[in-house]
Amino acid sequence: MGRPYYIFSSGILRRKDNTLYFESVEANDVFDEEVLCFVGYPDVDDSEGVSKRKPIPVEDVDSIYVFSEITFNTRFLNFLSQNNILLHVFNYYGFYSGTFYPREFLNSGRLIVKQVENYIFDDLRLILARKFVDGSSYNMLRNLKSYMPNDDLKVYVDAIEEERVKIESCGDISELMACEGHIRNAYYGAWDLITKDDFFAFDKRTKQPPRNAINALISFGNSMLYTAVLGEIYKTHLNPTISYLHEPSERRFSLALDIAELFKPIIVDRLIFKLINKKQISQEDFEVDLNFCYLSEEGRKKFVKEFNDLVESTIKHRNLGRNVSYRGLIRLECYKLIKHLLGDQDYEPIKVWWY
Amino acid sequence: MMIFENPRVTGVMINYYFHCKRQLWLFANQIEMEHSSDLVLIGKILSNSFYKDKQKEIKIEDLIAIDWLNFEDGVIHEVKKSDSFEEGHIWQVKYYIFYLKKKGVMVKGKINYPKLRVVRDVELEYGDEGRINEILSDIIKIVRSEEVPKREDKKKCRGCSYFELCWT
Repeated sequence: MGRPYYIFSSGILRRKDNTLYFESVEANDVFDEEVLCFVGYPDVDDSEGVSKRKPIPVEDVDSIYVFSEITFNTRFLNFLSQNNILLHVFNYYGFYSGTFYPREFLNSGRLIVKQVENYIFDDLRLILARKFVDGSSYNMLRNLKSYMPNDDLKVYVDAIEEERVKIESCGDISELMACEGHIRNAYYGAWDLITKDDFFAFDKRTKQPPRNAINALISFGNSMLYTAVLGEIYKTHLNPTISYLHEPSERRFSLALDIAELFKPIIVDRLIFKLINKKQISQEDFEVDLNFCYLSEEGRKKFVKEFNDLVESTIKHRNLGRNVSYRGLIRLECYKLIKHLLGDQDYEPIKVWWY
Repeated sequence: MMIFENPRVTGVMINYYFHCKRQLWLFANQIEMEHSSDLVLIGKILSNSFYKDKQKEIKIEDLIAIDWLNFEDGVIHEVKKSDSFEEGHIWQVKYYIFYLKKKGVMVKGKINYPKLRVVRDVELEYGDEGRINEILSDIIKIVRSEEVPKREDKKKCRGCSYFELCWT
């Protein structure tokens, strides 16, 4: 199984025979971490000392993240498509632009009919939508509780618990969304007590663009998570456009938004707390403009490295009796959804048990 | 003739029928687990690295895929990565022989277990054709059913590409 490649320097990506190559745009560029930051990339054999090309074995590639200016052609894209590799593109500010999502290679007519059926019938859709809110709010709560015995947090924990009781009685999606909104507000309200750093003061959630550092971190982290979820959905038979909590029209692949909700607290939020509390990320890693804030290139590299490490780290899965990575947990969530849709086993969202 | 009906029954489905009805249902309903399964990869590597000189993967009407065929002695070969013999392997090959016989081609079968360094002979015996017809109609009944058959014993599931799907 391949892994994600993250490209931070500019150049050309091309296909040569059955291998991918990265060519640096500057003839004199040296291939090192400064120029080309592939997280976890194996050492280059540059015994010749002249090679300007860096080969990337295609079997080793799960997906490619482009954070820089890269040139490629249709031949390259066709090759990615043949190998079922997703290409995610981020713009100059590190904001997610989009994904080259190759032709679906796993299709099940029966499953897609079931996916649609579960959307069309309001009662069926609500069952699944509630599960996503239930799971994500449980995981938010778990995050706050893991920072107890900070007594000041208690009022936020209580507020979330009070709101969580209402999930079951929400009669439609908009009520449920409102309930989710209240939970999220209470949750974010507690963040200043966890991060305890003025520079990362929360104020309020702002996106497109984020207005301050903490919002910049959340937005970037959520984009990274969204692409990771999308990549896992792609490897299952689920159709990524049919969703339950979010409207299918909300984004191109709105099912990824649904599933990402469950993992935001587990992956993104915890990573942000860690980066701030261990002072791994600080003011210098941000660019602050008049009315928006974004991670600098250095900041992005740090974040991506830590994100990748976390997503690849494993925990012991109770039912499977095996070690599963966080990325694997996302895939398992897709499987559980498939089983629910096929009428095999009712869906139960992931609820953290290991911290 | 059952085998020309829809859904069409492939050789792999015969094998799954013996191994696990749930696996059969999922596979026949196009929930395939090809991707990123290391075991599938091992299967491919085994098939590609052993018996290199043989003519491989003869597909007949997209229904049966014979691993290789020896034209001189009229023997079809099936390569199995498994390190245990299974009833499903035998019936899969019997089904191939049966199928080809209906097409007017008489062959014998062998199953190669490269990891065990064992070759096992398979022939169509008295009564087998009736049994195959029973199996085929049973398979069609299962895969057309709305309900997914329940998962089986966990011990049996080790090594199955559906393990994570079934047991999460």
